[in-house]
Amino acid sequence: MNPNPDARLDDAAPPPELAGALARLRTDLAAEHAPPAVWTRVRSAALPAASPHSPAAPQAEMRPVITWPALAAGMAVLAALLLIWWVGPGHRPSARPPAAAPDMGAGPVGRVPRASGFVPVASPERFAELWQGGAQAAPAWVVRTELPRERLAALGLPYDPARAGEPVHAELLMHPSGDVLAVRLTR
Amino acid sequence: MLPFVPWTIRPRPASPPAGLAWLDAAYRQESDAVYRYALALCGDAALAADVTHEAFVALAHAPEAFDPSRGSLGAYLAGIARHALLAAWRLRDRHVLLDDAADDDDEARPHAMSEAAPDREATLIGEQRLEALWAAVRGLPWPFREALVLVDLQERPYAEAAQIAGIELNTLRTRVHRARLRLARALRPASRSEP
Repeated sequence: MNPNPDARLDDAAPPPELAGALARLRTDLAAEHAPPAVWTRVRSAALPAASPHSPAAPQAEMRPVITWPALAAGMAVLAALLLIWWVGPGHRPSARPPAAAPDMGAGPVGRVPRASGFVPVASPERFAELWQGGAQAAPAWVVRTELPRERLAALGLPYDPARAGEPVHAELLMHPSGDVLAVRLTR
Repeated sequence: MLPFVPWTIRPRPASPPAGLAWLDAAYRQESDAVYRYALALCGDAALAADVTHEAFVALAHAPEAFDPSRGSLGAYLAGIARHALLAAWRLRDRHVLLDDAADDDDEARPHAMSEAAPDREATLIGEQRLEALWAAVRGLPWPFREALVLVDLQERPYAEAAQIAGIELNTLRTRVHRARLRLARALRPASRSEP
């Protein structure tokens, strides 16, 4: 009786009855080598992929899909669209004359706003209140500062959590009352 | 300027450098093992060469698909060769037993090999011609043949063999054991199998 029924499942050497046969098979198999033609075929098939000028070439370094210039351009377009939407006649909180808006073009384009890159952070109601309450007499000014990168999320902008600790350069459009009207990312 | 990497895009693992030097080195290191694995399973040198070629071409075209943390390069290439071999067999409409459904009464006779006198058994089996030995190996059902080739003929570690075969370690152990039983039975001279 086998004292250890599970011993046969151990990673043990083959039983002696088969050892000789398996050794002969191993020796015979070890004498086999991949034909040289295989490498020739592999090389031919791999050459286009291995060419450094080929799009399919393995990349030695990470190539991001989105780069800084593309991101900056996208943010500028987004800011412009937001400003157009925000200061447009259909979204002003009151029926005040549109001529009072500070960022409207006066040329042939009429009421088309100029893109400034600023993203409004104050609510439209607060913005209108501040504007009517003295912004014309004491215009807002721009303050350069650094923001925690994670604040980008609060502005609805993408940011890399891995770099959350790094500051991002920004310009704040400040009202004399201390309210931040808008923010523009500079770098 | 540093590239901006959105959080949704993960850096890819380091890939081999461009050119063929890395592929040449990988080929020198692994090609024979991949070829022998395929040859021992199919017994067809041309088919073994084809699947070896397919494995290395796949590596050349998508080197980033190999993840060293999941296993060795040899196991990765053997796995590709295995898929290519099975695909070729399916195309040729050859019968490949892919499960244990045809398993016979190995479990009912766990000590079949030990029933015979070891010395005489070894002598009789050892006298078999090489062609007969290979025929016996290739007569094994696919799962057992693969387990025997990986463990007993290529002497790969059990963990690596299990990874190539895509099975659990204990399943591989069982298959190796049953493959040995079947091989011993197949190699036993006909006179001994008669009552």
